[in-house]
Amino acid sequence: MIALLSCPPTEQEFCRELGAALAKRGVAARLAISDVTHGESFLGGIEENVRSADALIALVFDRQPASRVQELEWRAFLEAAWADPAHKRLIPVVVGEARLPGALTRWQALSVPRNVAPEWLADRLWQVLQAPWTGMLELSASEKRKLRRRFQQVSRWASVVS
Amino acid sequence: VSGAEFQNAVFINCPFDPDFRPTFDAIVFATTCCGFVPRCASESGTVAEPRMDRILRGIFGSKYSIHDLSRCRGEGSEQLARFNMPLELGMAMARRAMTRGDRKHDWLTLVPEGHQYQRFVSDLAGFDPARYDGTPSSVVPQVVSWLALRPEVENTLLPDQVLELLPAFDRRTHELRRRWHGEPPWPKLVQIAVDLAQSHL
Repeated sequence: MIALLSCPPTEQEFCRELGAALAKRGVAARLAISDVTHGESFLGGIEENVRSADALIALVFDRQPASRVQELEWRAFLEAAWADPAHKRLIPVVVGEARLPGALTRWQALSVPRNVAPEWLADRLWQVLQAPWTGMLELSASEKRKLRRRFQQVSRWASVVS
Repeated sequence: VSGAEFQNAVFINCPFDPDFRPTFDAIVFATTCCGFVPRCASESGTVAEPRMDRILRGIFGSKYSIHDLSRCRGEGSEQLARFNMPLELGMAMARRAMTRGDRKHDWLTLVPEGHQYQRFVSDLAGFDPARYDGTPSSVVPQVVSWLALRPEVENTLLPDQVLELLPAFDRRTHELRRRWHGEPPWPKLVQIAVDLAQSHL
């Protein structure tokens, strides 16, 4: 199994340790930007890595706004998971008090403390990867209500700005 | 425009010719399905205001903008390329430099697949423009994946759902344009998008 890891630049050391811990469990894990060289399109390089991956693990840390590269990683993850929801496993990991971007809330997230050890997280991820894949979550009734309200606001905003 | 209208507006900077209309409509519809209000240079319906003023008003009145550069290629017997879109992208980039905090302007550029754009606008290489093949079905995931990650958004329709509803949007907007001799009031067009998006929930 191949897994890609997305994390903020400041957490790459943690992610490398997590990748090593996953490797001990038979998962070939690497950073989503691995082998993407300067001068080429980051997005194109990430998309290339995503194509060959089975699992896409998006680590969202608190106190760390998403970097430009991390946002590109999430976009590539989303597009791949939307296109092949039955096979591409997108697993958001909320570290500490982080808030998931709305688009990533459609997948079951793992929530872990800020001081989580890479080995412990690798175990949790290994369990998730062994379990049958349930795919994307349906919107709840309250989420649908909120989205409906937002669409109604779009009508009002369109009248104001035109 | 201020407050919520600004924070949730996306100015769409695309060609307006009939050949491009299906893609333009797909971008407008996808934007609405992400919970943002789409804006464009023709939204006011007035020809009394110069086009450049309308574009500036749209870019300055929107937190976000989408710029399609897929037509930057030679056309016609003289092989002239259109440069309106890059000019307007330049305005959005300047706008970004002028704004701060949660009003900071952000933009998405759409370019043709491949690396051709690096030859005609190499300075964009560091910005990772979204590539698509010129069809509505390939532009929708690019627009949705970008807008779905904006901080204003909690949920959106998914690209498949947008594409499923798109033929109905095309039919209804075609009829609306016919009734208004090609220039329907912008809020009516957005309302069609809103009604269809809501119908999927």
